[in-house]
Amino acid sequence: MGTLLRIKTSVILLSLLAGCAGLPPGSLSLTDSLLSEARQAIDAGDLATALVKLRQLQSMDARSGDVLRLSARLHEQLGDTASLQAVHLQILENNPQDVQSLVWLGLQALRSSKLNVAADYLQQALTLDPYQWQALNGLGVIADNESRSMDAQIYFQRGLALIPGHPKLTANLGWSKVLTGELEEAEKLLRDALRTAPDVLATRSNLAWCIALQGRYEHALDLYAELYGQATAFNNVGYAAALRGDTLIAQHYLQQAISSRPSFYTKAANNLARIAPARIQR
Amino acid sequence: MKTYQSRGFIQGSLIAAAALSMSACSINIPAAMSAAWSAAQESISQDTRTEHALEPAVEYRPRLELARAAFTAGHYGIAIDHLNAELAQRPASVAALNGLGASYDQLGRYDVAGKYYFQALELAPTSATTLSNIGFSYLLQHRYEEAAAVSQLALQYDTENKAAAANLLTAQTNQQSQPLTAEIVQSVSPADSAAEIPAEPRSWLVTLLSRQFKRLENLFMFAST
Repeated sequence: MGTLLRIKTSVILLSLLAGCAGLPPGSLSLTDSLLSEARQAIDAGDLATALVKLRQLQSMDARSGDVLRLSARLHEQLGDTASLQAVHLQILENNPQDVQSLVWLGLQALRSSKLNVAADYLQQALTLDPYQWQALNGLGVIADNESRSMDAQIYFQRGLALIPGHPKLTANLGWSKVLTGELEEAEKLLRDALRTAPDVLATRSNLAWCIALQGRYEHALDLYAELYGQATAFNNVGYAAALRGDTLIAQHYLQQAISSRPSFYTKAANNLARIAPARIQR
Repeated sequence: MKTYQSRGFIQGSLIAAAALSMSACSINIPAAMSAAWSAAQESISQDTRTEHALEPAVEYRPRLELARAAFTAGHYGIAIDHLNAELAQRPASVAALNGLGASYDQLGRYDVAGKYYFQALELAPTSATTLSNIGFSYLLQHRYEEAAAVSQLALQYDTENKAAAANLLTAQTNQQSQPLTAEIVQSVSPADSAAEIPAEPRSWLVTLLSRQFKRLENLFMFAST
């Protein structure tokens, strides 16, 4: 029993010595050194090392602001949203003015469609840090969702003034312009966004819709078909044609949608039914 | 040189790493064997690699170091190869994404560079290094107003970021020079118009400054966020 205790003590001592061995005398404290090493490990994507360092730090002071922030970064990299939310709430408990946590919680609420909660967090973040482009982007999305597209565009433009060319802000401004009917400008913005982020499905889909609304149906069909297949492409373009009052074209595309995929019948047939009265009026 | 390509050694390391992660130590695999290690790692069954937390504390630096060395030597294609390999293994590596952006910038593929920088920014939205690199990319494209804006934002998040400060200075210098350029062009009389007027009279200055700041940027592009 005594031997076992001695071995355990030796292991603990060795562990502590291993932690201190790399420190130049009188420079950083053990905490600072561990924090720095953990941050470097996260930057390099070496999450296993970061996790080891975090555990050491947590055993020393789990509620320290630096340790919590590190924990947040690590959970983010691990994709552990539930833990991340708990950590951010804990950070705010310690410091209600932590901008990063306010932004994260705001964006998370936005993803869950809790618009009021999201707006509250993001507005707080923006008040504390007027350079917070993520908060500006989030508030813009909220404004668009609440049909306040002019406000939305101001938020996106403020964001773009901070980071010109940011694809997300550009794409969101583009979509907002679609909502306000400024289609040519919208198309330009969506294309700009796709140049730096070509794989974003939402942007490509929004561009197809924007082009369809301008009456370039064949082009829109190609773009949609690439994303969702023929049936959806015919249905969406048909719907856009109906909105533009091109009733015969709309009818043609919607019928094509039904024949491309019979299971699509209900959706396309409903759209077809909607345009029937308009056709009679013509 | 002794190599450690045997599967048994690797699996042993994995087990050791998992065990050690419970204590206060990390594993240091010698740098020289990292390539052999990663080659052998490919043969390990997927189930040992699914959990990030159980991954061994592998020596990850060499690949970034190799990329940095290739970049500094102007071998951007090789740098891109190393960085792509790094990114394949660690898709959330902000340093690798920044490195790819910087490499494509040097090849004049600003669109591709932007793609990587904004991916990096998605992972670390307040990274002064990434913002500074975006600013530098705009400088290379002569988009001075945008370069100044992003560099200012980088400095907002890290007031000590030398690369961002240098990029901001270059952007502002060139922004100020533009009205003067327009005036010179406008004042040219028809008789003189046959003389060659450079489209960008101060481009030599941009090139010169860019070279200087490129060096600075090299130093900082892999810095921590």
